[in-house]
Amino acid sequence: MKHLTEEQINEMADDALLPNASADLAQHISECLTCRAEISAMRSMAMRVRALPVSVQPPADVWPTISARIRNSAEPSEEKHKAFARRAPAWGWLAAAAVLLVMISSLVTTVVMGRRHADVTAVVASRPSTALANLAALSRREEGFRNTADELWAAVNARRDQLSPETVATVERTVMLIDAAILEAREALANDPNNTVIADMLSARYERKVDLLKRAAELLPQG
Amino acid sequence: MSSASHATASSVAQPVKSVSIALSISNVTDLVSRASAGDNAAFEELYREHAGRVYALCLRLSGDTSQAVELTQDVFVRCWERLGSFRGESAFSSWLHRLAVNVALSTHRGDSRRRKRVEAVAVLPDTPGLARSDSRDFDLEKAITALPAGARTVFVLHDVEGYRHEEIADLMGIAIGTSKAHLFRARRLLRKSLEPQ
Repeated sequence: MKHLTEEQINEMADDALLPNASADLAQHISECLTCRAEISAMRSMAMRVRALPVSVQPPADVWPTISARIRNSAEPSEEKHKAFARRAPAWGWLAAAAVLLVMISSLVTTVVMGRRHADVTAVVASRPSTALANLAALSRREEGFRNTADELWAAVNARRDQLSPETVATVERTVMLIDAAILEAREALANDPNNTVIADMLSARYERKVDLLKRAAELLPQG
Repeated sequence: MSSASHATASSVAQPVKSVSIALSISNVTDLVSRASAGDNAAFEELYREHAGRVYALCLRLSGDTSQAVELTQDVFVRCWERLGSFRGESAFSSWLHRLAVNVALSTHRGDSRRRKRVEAVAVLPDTPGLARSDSRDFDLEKAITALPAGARTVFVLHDVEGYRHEEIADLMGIAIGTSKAHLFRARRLLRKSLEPQ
């Protein structure tokens, strides 16, 4: 049996294969343990990569140097500033739309969070006191992340038809991967509730999800 | 998909949390407007908001902390100089991110005297915030930094930053097939370097 090429494995892992090629390959993959393992390993690594932190704080002396350099640089021209100011109403409209979208999502978020909070509380109740405190603190952070992620997702989902199908598919796939990583970390933390490394990892994965959704929201046409 | 998408009109009764996102959009718009008029304090706020993401990008693209610092400074100076050309057609963060990629790639292409990349192991332990809380992720960061330049650039843009091959090819001035070849090589090398010894 001829195995998939490196390119096919990569594209299969990315869900980027052409539709007419997928049927034949899917047949092979369903029968070939080696290729399935390769694709799985590739997807596993992609999941790790997508869970990396998106933000790294630069050293403190970066800004003073920038500040000194821009003092010697020409200011943006007044004409261009006026051009930006003329565009401001579109941003105002966007802000108003965002308020409406997020307000609409809030009630649902509240209902969902109510259920989730009950789940977390149940887990917390079964732990010793220190672990209980750690888990309680984490559950509060989780609630904040979840609220933000749900609100952002609601805003994106409400206008998903304004994004390309490829973008929507990418966002959905990535959210799914991050959610799997979050679940994995939560399960690990349930077994080892005092492990601050796992707690940090869980927080980092939530941050990753929020950042992804923010970036998706930024892709929506404005105005 | 989250159930948050199934909204009802009655949810208008929950305005508190919603304001934060709208205000942040409004704030950024205001800051960009003020900074483009020459307001340094407004520009510093924009820097504080976006420096982490720009620095992370520069760090991963360059694989060198001192070069990442220089690139970050160049990106924000260029941003200051070009604020007037920001048309508001995309979010400011997207515009800045694209600018950062362009600055990083053009610096990489143009600097023939570019110093030899410092070994990843020597660089990353002094980089706060770079996936240090998880040793597995830290290993991954080190492995990314140790990739050959072309493979690393494509890998970071595609797998970390979410760019498509068409965009990467355009940004780097290479063929789409070359971009894919770099990516596949990068993934192969990463998997090899992350295999248990």
